[in-house]
Amino acid sequence: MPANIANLSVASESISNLTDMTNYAIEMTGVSKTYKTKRALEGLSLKIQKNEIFGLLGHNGAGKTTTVSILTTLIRPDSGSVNVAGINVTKAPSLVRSKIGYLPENVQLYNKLTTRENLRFFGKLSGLRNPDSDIDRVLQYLDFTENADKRVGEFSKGMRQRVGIAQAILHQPEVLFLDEPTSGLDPEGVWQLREVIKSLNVDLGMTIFMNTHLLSEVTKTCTSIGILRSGQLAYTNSIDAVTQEFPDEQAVENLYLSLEAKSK
Amino acid sequence: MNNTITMFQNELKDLLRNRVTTVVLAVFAVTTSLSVLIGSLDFAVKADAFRAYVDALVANGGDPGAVPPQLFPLQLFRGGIEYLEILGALFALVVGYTSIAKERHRGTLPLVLTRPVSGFAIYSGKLLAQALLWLVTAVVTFLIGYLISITLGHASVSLVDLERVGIATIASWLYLMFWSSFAMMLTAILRRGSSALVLAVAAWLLVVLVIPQVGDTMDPDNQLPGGLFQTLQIAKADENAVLEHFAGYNNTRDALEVSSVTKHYERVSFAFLGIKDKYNLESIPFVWNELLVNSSMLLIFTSGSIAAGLFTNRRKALLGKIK
Repeated sequence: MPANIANLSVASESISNLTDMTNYAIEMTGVSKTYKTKRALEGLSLKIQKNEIFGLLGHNGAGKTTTVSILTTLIRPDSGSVNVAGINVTKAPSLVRSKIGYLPENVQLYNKLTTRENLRFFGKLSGLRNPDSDIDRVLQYLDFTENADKRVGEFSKGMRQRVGIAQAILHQPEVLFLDEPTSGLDPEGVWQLREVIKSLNVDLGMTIFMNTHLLSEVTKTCTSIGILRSGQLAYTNSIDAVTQEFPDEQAVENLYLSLEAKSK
Repeated sequence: MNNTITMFQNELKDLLRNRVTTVVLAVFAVTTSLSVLIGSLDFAVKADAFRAYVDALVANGGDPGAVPPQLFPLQLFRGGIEYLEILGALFALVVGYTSIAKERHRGTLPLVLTRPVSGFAIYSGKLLAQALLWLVTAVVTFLIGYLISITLGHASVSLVDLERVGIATIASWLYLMFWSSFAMMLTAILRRGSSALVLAVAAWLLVVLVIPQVGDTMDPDNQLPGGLFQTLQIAKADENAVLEHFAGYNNTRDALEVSSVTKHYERVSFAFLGIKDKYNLESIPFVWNELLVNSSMLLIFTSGSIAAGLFTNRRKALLGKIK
């Protein structure tokens, strides 16, 4: 066998050691994280199937941001096991990064650069050698082509959010993480974003992990939910099951409030 | 390597569209132009006075072979060097500090760090962009000086002089790179950006202003107007014999000056440009030989600072900067 092919098969073998062929896009088992004296996550276990739109709910300080930060490799868990797209985040974080897209809360971009320049930068960092055709495709998909050559600093919050989504999906990630995606958007912006999230899931088959404290948002956007309380998963189910269990219009709110009441 | 190039391109665009960079380049262009302009006008006056003197001699039937005054046009760069030495270091410090701090403040760091990009690529890409910025700054500073001195100053600058200017440009570039990478290193080490900036400015104050000033004050040549030894009518050859009796004092002064990268930069650039009278009639190989220690120290300081920045700007350190 030629040396380069041998190296290639060794490399693919080592990647396969890190990759777990599973139906789950996200698997967290017994994950804990403590900041100095404050425990943010306490044995969190969570499984999200591929092609879901999962909404993680919880009040401020419940551990939502810590969860997303661990899943996006921004922080390491103190203990427990975390797999994203079948890859262990502590063993192969770089590989995980190539499989995910991330839209932080209040997305910040390079204001002095145009939309296209921002996207070219993030696309190249994500491993796209010549991202221009991908940029055109994504901007067209998001109906944002006319703003391709405008500087991001001139944009409204909603427009910036679109560029934020574009940078997150440009390299067609397997799992997309959205941290409070509707935060600060006007009602029209919220509606538009909701439609984009749904179509990304349906058209591109992306698994979407959404972190929010807006109860109404999950019922309108997500296919399954989880409720985080004091660093632990208090409840998880599909939206269909939730609405069956709590049949009135405020299903999730009732569930959330009942869980909150139990914890007091 | 690809990520380094991507970071470099992005940083360069960001620098070029940043008002601070424009202000930095404008300040250098204006201050250097002014300092060289004033020197050039003085130079032109001296040259014209000499020409008038020769013409008058000839008109009165005298010998036109009068000894011309010693005019060294490269000495006109003194002001430019001093601006680079003090202001340039401060600007380089600020640009180095903001290269990581701005990512943190505007919140783009998490977006970068959720990409498969190493700390090395982030640091080296940003440093390369700054390297280009400082190279342009040094070249523009000397180019402006050169053009003014030959046009307004009517100075004749030879090819050897251009070579000297080239060496001073490289020394200036290395010096600015030292401060940029030094600030990047501090930003990586210290968790709080404000602490890094305060410490960087304190270091600048000490290295650029305090140590060279103390060293200059301790220099026997600066003890009295015209120099201590000249006032005491001690011959140049006997100076060393006298100084041997003050070895402790001299060693302290040397140790102080050796610890300052600014002093090494100043000695190298002043020597090659002939601003220090001792070197203005000497050949380039002679100056190289005399300034070997200072040139090496300038290189060691800069490469050490870059290496330290590389070592400290790990991904883990950058992750610690996320709000």
